[in-house]
Amino acid sequence: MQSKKILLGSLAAALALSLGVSGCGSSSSSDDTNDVPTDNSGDSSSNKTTVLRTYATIAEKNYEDALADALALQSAIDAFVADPTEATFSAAKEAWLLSRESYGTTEVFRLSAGPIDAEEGWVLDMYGAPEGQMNAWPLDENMIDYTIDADGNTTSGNIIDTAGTFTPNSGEAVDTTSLTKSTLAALNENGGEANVASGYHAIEFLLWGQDQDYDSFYADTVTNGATTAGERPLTDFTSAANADRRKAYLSAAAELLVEDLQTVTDAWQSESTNCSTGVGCYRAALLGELSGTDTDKNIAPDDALKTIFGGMGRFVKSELANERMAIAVLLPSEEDEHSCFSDNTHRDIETNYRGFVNVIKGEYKGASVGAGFYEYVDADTKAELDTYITSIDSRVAAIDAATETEHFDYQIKSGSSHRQNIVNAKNTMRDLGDAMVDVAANYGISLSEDDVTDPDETQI
Amino acid sequence: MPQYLLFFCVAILFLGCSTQESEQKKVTTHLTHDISTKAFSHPVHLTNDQEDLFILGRSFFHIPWVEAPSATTARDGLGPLFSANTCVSCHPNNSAGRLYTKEKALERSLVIRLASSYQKDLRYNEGFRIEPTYGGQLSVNGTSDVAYEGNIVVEWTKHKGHFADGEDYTLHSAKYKLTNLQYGALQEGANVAPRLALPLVGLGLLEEVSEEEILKYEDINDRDGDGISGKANRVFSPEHNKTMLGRFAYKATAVDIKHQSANAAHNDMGLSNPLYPSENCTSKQKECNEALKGRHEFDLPQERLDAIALYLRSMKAPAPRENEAFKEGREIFKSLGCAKCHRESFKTQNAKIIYPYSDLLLHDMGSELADGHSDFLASANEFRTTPLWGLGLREKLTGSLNLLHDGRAHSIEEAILWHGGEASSTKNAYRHLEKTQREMLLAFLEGL
Repeated sequence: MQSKKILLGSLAAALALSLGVSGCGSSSSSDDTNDVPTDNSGDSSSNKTTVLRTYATIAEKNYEDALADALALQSAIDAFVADPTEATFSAAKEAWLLSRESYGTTEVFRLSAGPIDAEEGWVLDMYGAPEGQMNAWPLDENMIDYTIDADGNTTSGNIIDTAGTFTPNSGEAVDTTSLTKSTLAALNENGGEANVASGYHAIEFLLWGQDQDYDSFYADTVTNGATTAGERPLTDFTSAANADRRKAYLSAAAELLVEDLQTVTDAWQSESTNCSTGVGCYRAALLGELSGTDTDKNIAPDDALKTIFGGMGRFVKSELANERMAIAVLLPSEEDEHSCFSDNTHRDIETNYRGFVNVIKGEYKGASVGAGFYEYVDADTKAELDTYITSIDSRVAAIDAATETEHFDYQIKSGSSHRQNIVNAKNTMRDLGDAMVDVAANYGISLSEDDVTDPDETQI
Repeated sequence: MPQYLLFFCVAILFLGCSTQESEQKKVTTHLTHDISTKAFSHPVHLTNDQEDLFILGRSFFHIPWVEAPSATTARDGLGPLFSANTCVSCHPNNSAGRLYTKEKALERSLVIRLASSYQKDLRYNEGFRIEPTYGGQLSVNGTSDVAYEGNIVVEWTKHKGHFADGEDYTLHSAKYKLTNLQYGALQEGANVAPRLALPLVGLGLLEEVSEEEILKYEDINDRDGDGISGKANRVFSPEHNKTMLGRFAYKATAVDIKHQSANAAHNDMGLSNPLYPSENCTSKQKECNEALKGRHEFDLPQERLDAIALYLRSMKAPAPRENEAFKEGREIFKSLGCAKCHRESFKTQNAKIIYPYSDLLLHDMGSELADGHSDFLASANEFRTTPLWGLGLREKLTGSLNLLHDGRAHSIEEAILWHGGEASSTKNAYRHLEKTQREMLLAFLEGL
């Protein structure tokens, strides 16, 4: 387990480094020059459609990869559940870590009224905003399974140990006799945002268990070490009480995750368009390609860009820099790092940020996809973006590299030599979020700092 | 600094310099034009260090606190006696509280201040003497082993009246009673004063106003003979350990945002903190005193209290939505004399001109509104002029409209018509307006 994690970490660092280098040098790659229309201004309708098409293509490719990796996770979990051994256990965890790589870069598509989390209108009605069911965080692990508290006591009264009726804190009762995907869907965020019962992080908790580093803002002393993630024993799935319920929970959570990811992937599909099933419908609407009775679903390019630019700014500033990094490093509290059970937070940061750079530059997996938002901005805005991106590239790579000696939950502690790097990274990410105001201006779209700052960021 | 920046931008504007856009964006503005439910939640431009504290403050403002001890070590210490487990439960979207939940039950954002029948010989640091068994405020909730204190029931009475032009109106009054008292009867003659959570609008801007600027309007004995007195409250600040000008809360009993936040944490949520170091139990509440405490010296330590205060201090105020009716209404507002207490503007110490529509002073509001509760210099009939900015957005943000200290008014007009005491003649002048003029005045208030 230990050696595999280090291997993965260094591979990831190498990947980040190579992406970083290619990212810095590709401000005007010669491959793109042929596609660039003569009008080089963002405020031209054909250029607006061009950059939206690139955005949609990146979303399509990225969600397809995320779905494939989630299916691989589901297979690994099925194999583990059928035959729980150290080998299948480890394979399931490996599959989870891999699935987070491709999912992480899709998160930039959030907060933009798209299929992942639209809060109103036909996009919500059609796709159901499954984000909360897939990736809700932070979660109250006490609701899912036993934990050991700071005084060493085992907690009880959770979904796993309650085979009957379970009532989440301030929520409504759910029949938990059998743990199916509909049971988990009914429990998720039932009674409050922290009552998370489904998605990546619920699976993560069931695979890793608690990472008991209580040595946080407040003085308590339970700590398992700087390079140790959660260590749930295999016996939780074999001989321990409720082993069968844990296995059922895992299978159901994986099934629900795949189903939700399928819905979102379908929405971005370019092969066919069907607004009855939702397939390709959002993509077509974003590109203004719907006709007949669906015509009124088409989104005007200016509206689309305004929503996307604001959403990107809020994502990189309010969600990534503030909720996922600043809160964790400022408290500092392990309870507030993103993947706190698996100690994979450094990868969440890298992939979330990489997703943002992808759509800015029109890239995916290091290769050009088409003209990104970066294409039609003036030299000053480009220089501004480049400065921030170059800086964050190196800082994010440094967070990743530092996990060799300290996982993210130790890097955030006061006294860690890596802490200031995280502080600087999140500060520059805020600037990058604010820079979306300037990007938007290049497209003739007026945004203010209020638009790139989410007053209602996910609350801890 | 902002002025300097402004000149800089103007210069660039003339030079046609291409960095104009990015420089302009950094000019500080203290107003937001957002009229969505997030209208009271936009911070001014913050430095990175301020933004760090801001998001911490916001999380403490929103997180549910839990009973001690808990696995969630950073967030335990709720109660033992409390009304609500988050700040935001009483201040939805940073707005005012509402009286009823969607299920028509009484909301936690209505609290009951309790005071002893004997209010003489108060110490310098005591605004009022608390009720001996239940303390200064009724808690409708308790942790596992501690009984809640009691429930609140409200009885409504309708009052008919009419405008000078003959049009009828109906006012509502609320009588709050306590039931299911768990620690025995209330002291004979104890005072029961209802309080609905105030909106958290423009607090930082009001804090920026100098004392001198507020005191300019003080006219305790009405020397100018305009029928309006205006008195500053002088209250004890536990943080500064001295008596200071009060400017927040219904009776101007809090000297600053931190003071009010610490008071609410203590009374509404049972969180001990550096300004209110004890748990909110009286000596007669055995289980409360013996309940398990949080792991730490304070449930809400200094840095978290500071963060909450900074969060609230940083919010922009809503920009008024001016149209023709608004402008005409504003003239009527001034000519009726409303602006004598609902003072239009202040110049802050940072040279911002702000329009809170309050003088932050105490005024006699008459016996109909009186709540029997005195606090430092504020008598039973006196209330601080409530700032009006954001008034037109409150219903949207809160989910319903309940105005005045006990939430009795269901509309802005009803709130106007409940004004008494020093405001009687102005209220009567409103009653004598023509309908179109009343509508313009209301359009102005709705546009704030």
